[in-house]
Amino acid sequence: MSTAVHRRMLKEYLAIQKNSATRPHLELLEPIQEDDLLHWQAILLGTADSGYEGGRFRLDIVIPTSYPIQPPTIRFLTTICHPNVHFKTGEICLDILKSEWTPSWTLESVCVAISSLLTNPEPSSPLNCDAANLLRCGDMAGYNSLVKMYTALYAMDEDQE
Amino acid sequence: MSSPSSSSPGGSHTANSAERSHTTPSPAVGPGLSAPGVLQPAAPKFKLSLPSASQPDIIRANQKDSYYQQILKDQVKDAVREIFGSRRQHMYQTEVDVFSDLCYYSLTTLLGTQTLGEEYCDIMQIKSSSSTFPSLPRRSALVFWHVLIPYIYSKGSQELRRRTKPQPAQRPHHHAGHRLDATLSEEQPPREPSPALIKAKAFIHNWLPTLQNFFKSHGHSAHLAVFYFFGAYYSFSKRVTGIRYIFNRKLSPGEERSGYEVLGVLIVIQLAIQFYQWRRQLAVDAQEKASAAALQAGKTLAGEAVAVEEESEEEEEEEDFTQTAAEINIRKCTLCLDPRTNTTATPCGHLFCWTCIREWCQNKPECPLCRQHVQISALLPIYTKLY
Ligand SMILES: [Zn+2]
Ligand SMILES: [Zn+2]
Repeated sequence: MSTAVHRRMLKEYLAIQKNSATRPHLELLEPIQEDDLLHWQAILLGTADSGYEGGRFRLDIVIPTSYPIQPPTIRFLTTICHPNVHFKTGEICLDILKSEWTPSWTLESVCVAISSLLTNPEPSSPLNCDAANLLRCGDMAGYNSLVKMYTALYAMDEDQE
Repeated sequence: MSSPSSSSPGGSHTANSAERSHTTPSPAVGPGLSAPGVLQPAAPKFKLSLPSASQPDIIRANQKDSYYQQILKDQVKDAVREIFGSRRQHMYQTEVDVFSDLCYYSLTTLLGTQTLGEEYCDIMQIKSSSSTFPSLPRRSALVFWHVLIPYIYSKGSQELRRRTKPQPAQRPHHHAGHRLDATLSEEQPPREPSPALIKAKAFIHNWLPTLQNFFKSHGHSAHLAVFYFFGAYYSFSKRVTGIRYIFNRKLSPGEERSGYEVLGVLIVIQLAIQFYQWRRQLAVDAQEKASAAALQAGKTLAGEAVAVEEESEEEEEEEDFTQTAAEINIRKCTLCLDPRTNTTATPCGHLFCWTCIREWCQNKPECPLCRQHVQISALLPIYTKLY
């Protein structure tokens, strides 16, 4: 049990509670259980000008004990159609979560980065080839309708859970 | 010279060397009055009535000597390191230094020749009482006082301080094994030092450094002042053995050396001021002691003072919490999100805790904030309090 990671997670927890009003696209960011600061959940809200509008996307966040030297492991629990997110496993392809991680990131800033990834996909490193291909071909209408469909199918469904 | 020596080696050799010592000075010694006593067992007894050396020349000779001594020390040190390894060389550094100094003076003063510095300044040693060349015992005493006494003094004072260190009362028990316990406890009553001895030891232990400091700063200054005024003995060893310097050449009429009397006056003034300050400090200390005693007498008073102190500390802590967010952010380490401890700067100028940034750079040698390459060795601890 490293105390450094707990200290830092406690700090992040307090900071997140303090400025919860300043992040419109992050509905929730908290530990799943109060006594386990190494396992968090988050809910991202789809931005208004995108196909994800109205959707609520649940994230599963696991903090390694070597955090913040090592990045957290984050995946989508809600099925989402995005070129950089694996459709089945919810794995996210984002450089800052892999090779470009630096300990200056916090859970909050990482969630904001994921939120902006939704509206700014990076089709050159796809995990979802179908969505990426549509984007690469420039078929924005096709891409947007696909995203909208899956958002309606899975991300709004969760509302009733 | 070669043919006679080949025909009758023994006789001609002694004749030759005796002759040479009379006519031509040996090359190592230099021109002028030199090398008495190297080959002639009896030192010249005639009175040397040359002008006594002035302070600038004595000092210059000393500087020159210490320069060559340093060179010799370095070379001996290198040799010792080559032969015995650097660990042992480090362990015995002081002894090695003393040895090399001893070599230097054995090969010069002890043999009856000038040191390099003395030769450079054209001065030589004489016995000041009789104005004759110092005898071998006297020269040996000089070398002993000059080289070995300082070493013995420093070692001895260290040892004395170590021995007089107040020991915990039950120390013998800790050291005794089970077998020895019985015998030791029997032995203990006679081994127990008397309270007077303990007191004396504590006194020595406490006052030794002060005394040493006093001698080092003031005793040396006073000695130097005397030298600047009268110009006879630059070092303690020469004063003790009564060996002073004379010029071994005639001074030309315009060559009157100016002395260092002004420096002597300055040192005397400095000593006087220090003495005055010391006296005043004593008075202040006595006053403080008196007031402290008065405070202790009223225990309740002291208790109150402590309470007040604690209160003010609490207030300070509260102030810490009410600092503005911006201020806290400035002092915060972005890695642990706490106020920085042992602030360390990267070459790009970003600040972190030492432990935080070191751990990260072991993982990845780049700045967490700007991704510039950072070598661990380039991390720069900052000892100045920034805010
Ligand atoms: Zn830190
Ligand atoms: Zn930087």
